[in-house]
Amino acid sequence: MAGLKTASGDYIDASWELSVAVEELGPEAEPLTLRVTGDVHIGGVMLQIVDKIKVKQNWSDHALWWEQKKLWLLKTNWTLDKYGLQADARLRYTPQHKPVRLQLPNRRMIRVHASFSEPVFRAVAGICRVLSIRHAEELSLLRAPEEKDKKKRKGPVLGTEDDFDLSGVVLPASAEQQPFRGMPAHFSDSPATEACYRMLSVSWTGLSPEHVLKMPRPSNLVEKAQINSRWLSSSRSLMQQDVRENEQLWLRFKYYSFFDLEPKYDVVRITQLYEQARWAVLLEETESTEEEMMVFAALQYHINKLSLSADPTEPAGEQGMDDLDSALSNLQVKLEGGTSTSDMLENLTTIPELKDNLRIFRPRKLTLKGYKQHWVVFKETSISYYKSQEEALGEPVQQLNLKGCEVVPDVNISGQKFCIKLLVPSPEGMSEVYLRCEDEQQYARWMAGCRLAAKGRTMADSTYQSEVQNILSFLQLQRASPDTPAAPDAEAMGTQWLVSPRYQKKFKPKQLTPRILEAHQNVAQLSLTEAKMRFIQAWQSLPDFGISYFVVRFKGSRKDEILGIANNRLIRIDLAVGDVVKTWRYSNMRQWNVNWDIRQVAIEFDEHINVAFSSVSAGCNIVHEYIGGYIFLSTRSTDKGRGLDEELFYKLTGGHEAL
Amino acid sequence: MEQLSDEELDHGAEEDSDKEDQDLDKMFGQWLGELDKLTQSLDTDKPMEPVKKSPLRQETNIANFSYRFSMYNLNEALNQGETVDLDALMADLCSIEQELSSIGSQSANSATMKRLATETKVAQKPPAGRLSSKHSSIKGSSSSSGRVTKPSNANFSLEDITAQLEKASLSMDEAAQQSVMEDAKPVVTAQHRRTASAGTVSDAEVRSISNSSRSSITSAASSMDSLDIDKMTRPQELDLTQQGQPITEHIVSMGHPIKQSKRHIDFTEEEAELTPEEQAAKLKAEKIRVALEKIKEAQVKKLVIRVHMSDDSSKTMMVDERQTVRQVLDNLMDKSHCGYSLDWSLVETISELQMERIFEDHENLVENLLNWTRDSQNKLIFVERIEKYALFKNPQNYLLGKKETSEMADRNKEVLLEECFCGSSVTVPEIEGVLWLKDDGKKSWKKRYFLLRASGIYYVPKGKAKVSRDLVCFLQLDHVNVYYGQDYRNKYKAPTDYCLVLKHPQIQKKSQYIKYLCCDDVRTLHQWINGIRIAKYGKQLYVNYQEALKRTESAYDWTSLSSSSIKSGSSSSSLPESQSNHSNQSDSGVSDTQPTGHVRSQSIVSSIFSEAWKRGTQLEESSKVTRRL
Repeated sequence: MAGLKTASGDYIDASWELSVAVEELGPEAEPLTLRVTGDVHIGGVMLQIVDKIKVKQNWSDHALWWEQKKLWLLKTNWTLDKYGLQADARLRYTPQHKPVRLQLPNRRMIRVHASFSEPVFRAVAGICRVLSIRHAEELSLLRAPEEKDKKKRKGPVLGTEDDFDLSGVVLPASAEQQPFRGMPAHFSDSPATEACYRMLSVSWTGLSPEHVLKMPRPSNLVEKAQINSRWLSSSRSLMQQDVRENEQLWLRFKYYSFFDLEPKYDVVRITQLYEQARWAVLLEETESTEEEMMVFAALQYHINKLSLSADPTEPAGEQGMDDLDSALSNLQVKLEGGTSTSDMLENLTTIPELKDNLRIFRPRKLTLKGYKQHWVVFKETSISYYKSQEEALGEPVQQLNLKGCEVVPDVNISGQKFCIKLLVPSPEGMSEVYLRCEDEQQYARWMAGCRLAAKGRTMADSTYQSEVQNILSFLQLQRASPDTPAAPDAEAMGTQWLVSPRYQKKFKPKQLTPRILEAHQNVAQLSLTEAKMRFIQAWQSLPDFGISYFVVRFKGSRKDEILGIANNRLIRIDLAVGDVVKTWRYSNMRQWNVNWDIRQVAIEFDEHINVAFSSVSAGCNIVHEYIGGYIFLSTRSTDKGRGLDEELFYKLTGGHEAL
Repeated sequence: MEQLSDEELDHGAEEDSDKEDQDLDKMFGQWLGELDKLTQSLDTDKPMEPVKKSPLRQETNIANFSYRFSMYNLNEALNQGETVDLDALMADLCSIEQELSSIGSQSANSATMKRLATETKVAQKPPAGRLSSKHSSIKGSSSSSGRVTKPSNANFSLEDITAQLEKASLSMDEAAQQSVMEDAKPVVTAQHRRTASAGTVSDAEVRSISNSSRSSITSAASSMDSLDIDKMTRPQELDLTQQGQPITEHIVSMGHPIKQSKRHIDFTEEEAELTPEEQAAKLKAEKIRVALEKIKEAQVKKLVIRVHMSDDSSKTMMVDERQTVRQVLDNLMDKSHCGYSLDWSLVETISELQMERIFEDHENLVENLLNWTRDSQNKLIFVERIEKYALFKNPQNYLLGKKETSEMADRNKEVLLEECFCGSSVTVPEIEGVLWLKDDGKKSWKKRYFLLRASGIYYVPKGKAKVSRDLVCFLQLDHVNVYYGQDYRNKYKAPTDYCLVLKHPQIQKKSQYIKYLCCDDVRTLHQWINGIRIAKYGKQLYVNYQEALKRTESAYDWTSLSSSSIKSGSSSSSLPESQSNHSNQSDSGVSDTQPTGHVRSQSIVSSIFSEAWKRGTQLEESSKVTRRL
């Protein structure tokens, strides 16, 4: 119908020309011009475009983008009139999914296709499906910080390595993903994607102290608040927020409320969460005490060690074979292997003992006695020592039951000092005993025995040998001096990078390693997943955990203050001192609303407490979305009703821009 | 008997299994018949004897297990001239025996079991001459069946087993008598060990048993008669447990396809389609499991303890080392008819140090009591304490780190508790403030600013700001328990009465390793103590509370108290039902010495605290009123 002309060439109907840019035709190409009328459907327009392009390809992902209005014309049955589209509109015919460079919580880069037309909430869900991360609602996207020149100057900075490419991955249509060879099926397509899965699910071991030092660290609350200004709005699409193709974005856990962490399904999720936690600790985004830092360091060391040999395709939790089964199979193996009954009886019943000449020191008040040589026998969970080996049949000088005692290593490798400090509880108090060993080997054997005994186990325990090995490898670590060639494995790396720069400065490696070693003994037996979970839990129990900071100005106040948003409460914090001024809990919250004109958030709590503030460091909508997001997450129920009420999310977080 | 087993070894190995089955079945039947006769005759001959002696005799059955027990605070009772409820104790012992015998799930074989049990009793009573005659009679019966010429090894092993049972029971009998004698003396033994007969089994015997068990299993496979299998294996199992660990191997040696059979167990629904072989394999696996369980059980330690009630009376009871405080509390509530309340607590008082602690419900009682010294003046008190679960009744006063108490709607309380305890990690309440710390070895107290974190208690060093990195670790909580200090104003010149103590549970005397802290008011004290409990025990505390809640709620629903103790007792099934049966038995024994009807009063020791607490809450309430105004 459209395009009827009079003899003079004027159009006689209501048709007009619509220009549409098509990227596929090249950047220089003129936009296509279509002759349309106001009652043409969007679908019809797209059909015309495809006809005109005359390029054979799959156009199904393409849609029309209205540049001036920043609007996707996705409703194909709407007419141009209904969209209010006129001849001055600049349209682009462009794919809805575009590649982005994503920095993951583990600071590695990955290329994936993200939806540029759906709200970020859904785009993130799509990305997480590709990455096999459940509960995508806890994550969101941030803009990457502006690159500063000074960072570019020296050396490799984390996150600038080659990208892993997952943009070609095709997800199976079915919602339920069948694991294939121990990983989600879509990862097993090619060696490249398999490597990518490894990157996602095994924590990175090639870290050096420089990496940590080079990362920007927030030094105060205001700096901690900075990151929160970069969150993208969840209710608008990437395109609407001016994100470009191939732009770098960060994917992070945004809401610190981790639902249903399950080692069985959440291999990638737990790893990434651990990585985010690890960086938060190392960069002191979440502050910790010295003791806590040592535990974190020990866990990192342990995780790294296990990660070197980890196979991500091995399903987690297999070791959970029930006692009986393992006991039986053990016995069976022993039976089949053994030759005579009496031998086996002996193996099962005899508990290994340690007997050695050791030097013992018992600090007492007002005595200057030093170490004295004794014949020491370690049997079951007790240590007895005698004046000499000949007297071992008689009464010992003393017998100590190590059950429940504290075992502290006191080692100085360069000084060839291998001491075990024992704090043995007794009704009278703790008795302090030092055992001095001759060399590493002896030390490792006795130390491992002491540790097991402290837990009430004997050296017959199956973990004894691995404990000995653990101790030896840790001593090795301590031996590694800076001048040894830096091998790329964690063993030679030293322990410096396991702690935040502050503690790197505070302690010499010589001091640091024994501290970490001491903390390590409590975690040495954890499996890889357990260790990661332990790390996450320890992180979660830090007082600073899960608080997102914003610089705000409270109504009626003249100075800037800090608002902390946590998963259950809002915290008003003094900007200068860092003290908590007031806490409000969401459970007491009646309602909150945003005055978009003056950019003010107003919250009403029970008992007519009203709070209003405007955000200084970040957009008002980000604050609003944070609060709404937490309230949305608290509505998640424990029953496995999979669907999330997405509408509710937009309602709670989107403000007037949504819907 | 040694000879017999040797002989049996010589013959045993290459038997035809089919024939053996028939032999076994018949012989077993006859044997049981014999036993019945014997028991009947005994009962009619001496009607009085069994009644009087039954506890002892039953105890001898327990002797099948290496059995250890010890007494706590009994001497005290004896000194006071009170009667020790040996009867009640015996009832306890009996219950253990029942426990052992009731493991088989089918009622049918439990009947045969009883017969077996009585048999051993009978056998153990008469002098040796009688004993051997019984043996000959069994032998006779088997010979009359005409198969002596080719004696099946199972036959011999059965005799062997009974002989061993007797041996064990005899030696245990002695032991028991000894213990009774010793009990008369006012001696508290920290840890008596009486291992009965565990080491008496010779290698040859062991092998013979394994042979016989193999044969019995094969017979099971072919005959498909489950009852017979049970008859056959039962005595062996008893025997196995008696010998402890080494036997495990033999058990396994008879089950070749263990893994396979295990799988079958997992698919019980398919039972109907199982081939006979599979079913046999399943049975085998099941038996192995039972035997293994029993082996574990054989290691169980028992402790006789004295529990002081709130009305100054006391009760003697037996606890085994697997029992949690919750289970003991349930037992005590049943026994003392005190009504069910969340607040019933077991309180440990250490008089020498003037401190006390409420045991947490999940804690192991025996483990804790073994920390006491031989001549300990410590007491275990059964008393109601509101502090125990006040944390969960009014969480807003503990979890929010606020200075003032407040009311909270129940719904919000639940939300708060869930938030704190049900996440993937427990949130330790942010408690901080100035406390007094006692100087080591001196009666002087210094002020310091303390903070509680999940990783321990910290303080702010002088001249430093309150930032995480500068905090100094005062104590980590893994190795210490938190106690209420009592009357330290007098003892140590403490600034207030509200003291808390942190020490390793094993420390029982004054030591520099005990840390004393003093709070300005009772409210702070309770906040700190509960905060430390949360940091130390985490979610377990909440689980304890919920279980206690369930326990008390269900208790009101049940008309019969004892049945409720069975049904609603803690979820751990390690305590079989017979345990609660015995609690009824012993109850009758105990209640004689007890004034009936326990008054719900606070004991003297605890009164200071509960009063202080009341004062505190009253203050809070009054302050609330003023705030409202």
